[in-house]
Amino acid sequence: MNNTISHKEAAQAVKQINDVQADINRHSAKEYMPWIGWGLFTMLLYPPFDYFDQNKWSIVVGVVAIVGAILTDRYIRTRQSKVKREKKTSPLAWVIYMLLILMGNVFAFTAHSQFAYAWTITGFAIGLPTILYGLWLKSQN
Amino acid sequence: MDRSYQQLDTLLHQPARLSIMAALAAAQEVEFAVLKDTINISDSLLSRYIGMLEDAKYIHVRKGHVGKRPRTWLSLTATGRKAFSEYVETLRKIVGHNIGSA
Repeated sequence: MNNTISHKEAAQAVKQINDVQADINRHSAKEYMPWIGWGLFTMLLYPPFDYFDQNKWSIVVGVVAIVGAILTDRYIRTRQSKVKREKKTSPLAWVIYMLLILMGNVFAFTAHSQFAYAWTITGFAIGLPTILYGLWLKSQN
Repeated sequence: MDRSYQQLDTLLHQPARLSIMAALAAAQEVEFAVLKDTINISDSLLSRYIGMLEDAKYIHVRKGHVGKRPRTWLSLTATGRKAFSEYVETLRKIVGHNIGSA
């Protein structure tokens, strides 16, 4: 039996390790996706409050929010059950997002009667940093 | 540049077992089916290698259920993570460039 390892053999092993780890990463949950999704949620679904009947539109937003929450939970749970990785997102980030939503809703609801684009501004003010956070998470992968 | 095999962990110095260790080093826990797809070997051979690595206390096997379906999850032990890191470090020295760390 040859008792040596060549440079070429070691390089092949290195490539093998990198390939396998990249494949495992592909199976893991992409934490940035829900953040981008929820950022788009406020950016796209808040502005119509400025133009449509708020009561009717809130039903649409409510349904999308519930479906989105279920899909987010299922996506994370399913992926985590296959490949569990250390989470990069702190639960605090979700708490901050929920607080922003709550504060934004209160602000837009009260300010809407005084200026026309309160919901649009709120949607972008919450959505843009959320999407940027998602893109930052993506860059960390 | 050639190096003695004795510098390398002989248990890891086999492509499929190295792939198992590399896959587990990239995560906290990996499901058996995902590992099988990633490494692309038969169930029986994978089970045999898992048994060898488990005997060496390199990996931990956890059995459970998702719904009603039985599942097996695998993870590296501290001993296994150390052995893999040392193996990678040796390869790194031989090749002379950085490897994606575990």
